[in-house]
Amino acid sequence: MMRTIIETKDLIPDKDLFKRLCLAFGPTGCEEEVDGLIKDELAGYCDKIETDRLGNTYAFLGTDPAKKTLMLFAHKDEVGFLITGVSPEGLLYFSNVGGIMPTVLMGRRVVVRTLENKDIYGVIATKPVHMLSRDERKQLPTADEMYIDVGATERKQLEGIIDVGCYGTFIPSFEYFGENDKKLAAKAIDDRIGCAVMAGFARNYYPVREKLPVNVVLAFTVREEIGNSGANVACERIKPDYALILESTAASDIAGVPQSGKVAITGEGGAVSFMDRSTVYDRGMKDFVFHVADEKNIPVQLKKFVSGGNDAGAVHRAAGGIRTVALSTPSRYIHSAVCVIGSRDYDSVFKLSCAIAENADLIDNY
Amino acid sequence: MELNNTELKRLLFALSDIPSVSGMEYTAEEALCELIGEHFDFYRKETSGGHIFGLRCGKENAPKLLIDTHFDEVGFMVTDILEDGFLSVTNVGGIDTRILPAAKINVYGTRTVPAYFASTPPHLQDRSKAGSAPELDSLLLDTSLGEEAKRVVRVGTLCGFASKCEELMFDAVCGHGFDNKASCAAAIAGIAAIDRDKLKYDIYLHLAAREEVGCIGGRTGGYDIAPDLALVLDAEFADFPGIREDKTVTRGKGPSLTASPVCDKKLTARVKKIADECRIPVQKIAYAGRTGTDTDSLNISGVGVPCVLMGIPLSGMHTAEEIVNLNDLTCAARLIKEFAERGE
Repeated sequence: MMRTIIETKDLIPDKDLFKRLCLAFGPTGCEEEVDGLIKDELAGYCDKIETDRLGNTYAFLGTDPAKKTLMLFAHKDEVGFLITGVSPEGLLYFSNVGGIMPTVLMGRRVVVRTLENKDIYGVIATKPVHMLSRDERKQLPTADEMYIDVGATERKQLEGIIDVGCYGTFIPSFEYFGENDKKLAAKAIDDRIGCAVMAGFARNYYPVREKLPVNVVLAFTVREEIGNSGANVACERIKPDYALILESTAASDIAGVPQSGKVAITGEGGAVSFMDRSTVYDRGMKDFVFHVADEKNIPVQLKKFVSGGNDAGAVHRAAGGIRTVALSTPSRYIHSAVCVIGSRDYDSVFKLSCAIAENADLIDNY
Repeated sequence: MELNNTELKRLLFALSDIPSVSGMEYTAEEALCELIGEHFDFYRKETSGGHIFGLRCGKENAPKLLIDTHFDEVGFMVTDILEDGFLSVTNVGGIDTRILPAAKINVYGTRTVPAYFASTPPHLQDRSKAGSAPELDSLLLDTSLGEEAKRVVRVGTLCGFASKCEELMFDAVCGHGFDNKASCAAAIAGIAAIDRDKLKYDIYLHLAAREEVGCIGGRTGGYDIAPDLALVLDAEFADFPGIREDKTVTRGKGPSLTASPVCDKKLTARVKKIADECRIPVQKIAYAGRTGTDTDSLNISGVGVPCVLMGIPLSGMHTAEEIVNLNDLTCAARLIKEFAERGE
């Protein structure tokens, strides 16, 4: 029988913070704004909060040396753009920060943060369809052949305003849609959803942290999207016994996709990975999570395809090896202008994360 | 009306918010009359679904000046309703499929619902097609409406870009349907600023339908109005790296005047002269044949119409994020006012 500290129905997810986090500006290398929102939200809801020299932030719930430590991970950064130059025509050259398919770049509106920290709008410019050759219609340019148009028509207009090293993201968005608002379309759900789930955890459990069977450390990491993750040093610093990676993964429940290609289904709960491009997961941890979900009657699914990767890749081999499981919210169109998730999956992932922490002393039985 | 960038921006953004994918322009009557009706003497519908707003000069047998600015924009039409509310669509007008994945779309069903163009996740993409542009038949619209989709959407339902207008830097703005709402805004503002005592013509502003699917409204509107002369305003290609400079105009350097066999030489020269006298900057562009605008169909409608084609420099034509510079709209509006007051 699983332990219950807070009844599942009484858990309150932090939905307001989730929205503010998705709208925030935070491409890899610029996680400060997201970090600030998290710290404001956690003030008074953890024993201590600290930030390391790379920018990872740690919130501690429980500091009992007799207890083992469960560490939750979510990354603060999102995919975006790094400005690499300005063309004579006043267009911005850029490179992708993180993996963005060329198919989702052209014609999208973006935000660029200027040298004076002002956010301005731009558009990933396109040659007009009327002037494309037959070959150009079929072939996509790469990011290195695209430009961001911010309204200028000459290079000198942008002097002192935008320079090499400025960052950009897709435009902020956060909108429920579909039948009974069953879906949410928003920028940067990957991985602000993990950050919001962890903040919600702190706000619910801080008053009852002594009852948890483990100390919990919430790690808000940097640089996940470029594969040079802050999670590496986070593990060495804390040396946790168990790791729960809260992530977002590609759903492909799109009409016409064969059953075998459907990685995960939006609206059917968080997805637990058995293997991806960076990790072969701890089988016991996976079984434990399914058992908890079953006992607590919380929707969960198996990620059915070996694809993608996340901070688990860094974590499970760090600090001598850490038992690691990943719980990911299935998201359509991940790493594009909008991620689309099942609205209820946020609650499912949050509640399951809480139930995992309440019973983390049982992990060694699996 | 004052002719300045603030007024032009207000008009342009309001016009962009009125749905007008080719074939549904007629639904805009109420919104248009509310927005601009006060500046005109009369309104009537046009056969193809366009809107005619008239301003009389009060002189007997005054010549009729038609100002044609097409009001429609490119979009999509639903061809099938699939599982979980995914829709397959076809294009209405010329669409660049490379810009569609993750674009937000409004589906104009029994009520307007948002949708997003789906993209195939990387692990399911055919590696042999890596880097190739998606085909429209492989792209689906995600409404997430489930079973409700069949009640809201039908085969034939029109859909359009949903981006909201926004300011960029240096007086540039972005949004959808600026081809040709930028011209509509300039024409409306220019007419609204006319000094009635000086007006030389009875003006017929035709916010024409179905230009994007074959310049239909230009032809039928020309027949209906039977004008003595016409000014056509449409979007003109703005500079882009790799396109030879003679094929484009520059944003922010004024509207363009077009040299083409379908345009009237004398009338175009007269407009250029007025621009010079008023110190309104204009650019030039040439098309050796047809212009791809309502000019092509209008100039051969009825007994024939001498036309001037004025262009608003525009980037990203037919995408969700077209860009124009408000200075060009203001200049075009001033030029229209001056022409209507000074005459041929």
